[in-house]
Amino acid sequence: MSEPVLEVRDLVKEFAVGQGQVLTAVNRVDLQLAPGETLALVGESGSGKTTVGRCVLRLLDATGGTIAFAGDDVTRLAPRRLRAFRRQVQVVFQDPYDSLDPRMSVGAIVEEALRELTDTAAARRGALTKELLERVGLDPDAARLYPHHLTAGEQQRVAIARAIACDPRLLVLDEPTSSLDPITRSEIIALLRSIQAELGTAFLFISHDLVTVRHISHRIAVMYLGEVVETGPVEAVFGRPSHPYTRALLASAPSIERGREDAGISLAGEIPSPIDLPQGCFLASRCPFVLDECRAGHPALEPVSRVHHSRCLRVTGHLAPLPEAAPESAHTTPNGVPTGNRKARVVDES
Amino acid sequence: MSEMLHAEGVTVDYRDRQTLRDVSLTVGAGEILGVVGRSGAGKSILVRALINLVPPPGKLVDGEIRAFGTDLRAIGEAEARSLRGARIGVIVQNPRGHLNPLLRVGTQISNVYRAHHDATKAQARERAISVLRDVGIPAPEHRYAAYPHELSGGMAQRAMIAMALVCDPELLIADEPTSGLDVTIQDQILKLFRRSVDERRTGGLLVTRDMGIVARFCDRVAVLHEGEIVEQAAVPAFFSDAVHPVSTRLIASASFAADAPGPAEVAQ
Repeated sequence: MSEPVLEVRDLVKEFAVGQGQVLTAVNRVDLQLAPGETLALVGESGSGKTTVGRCVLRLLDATGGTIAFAGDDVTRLAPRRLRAFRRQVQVVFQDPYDSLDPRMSVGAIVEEALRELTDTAAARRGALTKELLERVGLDPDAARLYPHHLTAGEQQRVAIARAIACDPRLLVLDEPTSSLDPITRSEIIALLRSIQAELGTAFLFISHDLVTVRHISHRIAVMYLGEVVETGPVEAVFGRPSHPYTRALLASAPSIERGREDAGISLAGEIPSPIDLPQGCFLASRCPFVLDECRAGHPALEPVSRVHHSRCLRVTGHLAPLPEAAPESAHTTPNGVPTGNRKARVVDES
Repeated sequence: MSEMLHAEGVTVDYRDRQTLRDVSLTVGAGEILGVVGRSGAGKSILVRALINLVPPPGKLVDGEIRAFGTDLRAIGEAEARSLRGARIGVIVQNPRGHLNPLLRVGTQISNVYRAHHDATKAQARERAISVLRDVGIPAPEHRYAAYPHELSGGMAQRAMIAMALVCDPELLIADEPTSGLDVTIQDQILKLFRRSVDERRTGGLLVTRDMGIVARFCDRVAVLHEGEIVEQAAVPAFFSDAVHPVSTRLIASASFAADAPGPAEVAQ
């Protein structure tokens, strides 16, 4: 891998929640991101994926650890250097309407980014704004319109145009397609991929939607209760998911390919409280494969192959291995594509 | 198969624009009909029209809607109300906006039950707690006494679903009931829905934009496009043989397979 754009080490983010209690939202997370690469952060609500994104953007101050970006530690950037930092790191949020000023025209929104974050001469900004709108697939005449004139997909294109106006090295995308219908979602993914191919921007893509993640990411980090529990190339994590949490997540996501079939693995109960973290493995209370030993020692993220890591004692060889032929891997082809098996309806017993 | 819901020629005008045009569909006992389409296709208006509650200035101008053989447009509001909530369960979008912020969540669910059953407060409470447990709310005895603002978004959404299920409806109409919920919870709720339809031979209409949900939980699917149904088919056949361009794009956009026409192709 070439020199990383972003290197997160041991990132911790705690929130004080009163009465001396502490909520650990992000727990010793390590991440690396190369130029032109997309790393997806995947997990359910409360997994800490959005908090990681906000720490990287310095919208939140980390409690511990380092975030190296272009030779600087983002966590220690002096306020006066933040502006220079923001010329290189931009963000697109989930709800495009909420993230655009309703009283500014589309042209003014994009032009503001050019004015504040680039050295573009004033005379050039109008023309460049139109070029940016065209680049994201909008009619340059849309510059005169206001956000409420646009569909959600078009609004998200404006947010993307604003984000790439300063040609950032890193784009944090926090659920950018979650509020869009499937066809619009595909169009936005295609746009993001073409922008990445052209500009070489690195993407930190935060999402709970596994279909989207599959189509845009190179690598995935699966988060649970503030920790990364599995990480690796997208083909490996989808094709040979190792951690019971990843397997349950993939099994729960309905897919056209699997049709009626029940993939079997499901998690019992609820995600434990991040205020009162369990002793051993964080998944132990919900894991269908739990052994007594899992509740004792906290597992480390260890390699299952050169590029694929997992945080499960039964996967990394410390305890009896997980049962073979788990339901979802049995229906997965060698390249990780779930097959089109359509069995008769399985009436679920869970 | 007996029909739980039969709609024919349903047309809704919204000021001078037609938002639904000549929509006909049926839901039989023991089946779930999926309704899919892009944003703005008319899915949510259709849900309102099917229970004869089109919000003004929209107006149901034409069509016939029968639930269990009863013509919903012919009966009075009192009779319609005794059907909705009891025999017809409805889950709308935006759960928080439909919970009364001043009442405890459990009380609201109990009230629905008591409106349609001759039950004591204690019986209604017991029933409400059992439904809250069914939709995966932990410690339902405690959550029963919570106010809506004390619940997370996902929790409030599940409380709304519990409210729709508390009377064991024979027909459940749900508009994106699990959008925004985590997949593990979504899976749990839709399995509950499927099981109820299978075991009690009830009917379901499920509006969704997740084609995976259609594949996993629906028997038939109707594709809505600009207020019209452009394709209707049985589920396994739909995914292999869909012909309308909106259908094929919806399918392609939701495929997991790396060798499927990827997003670029879908976007043309």
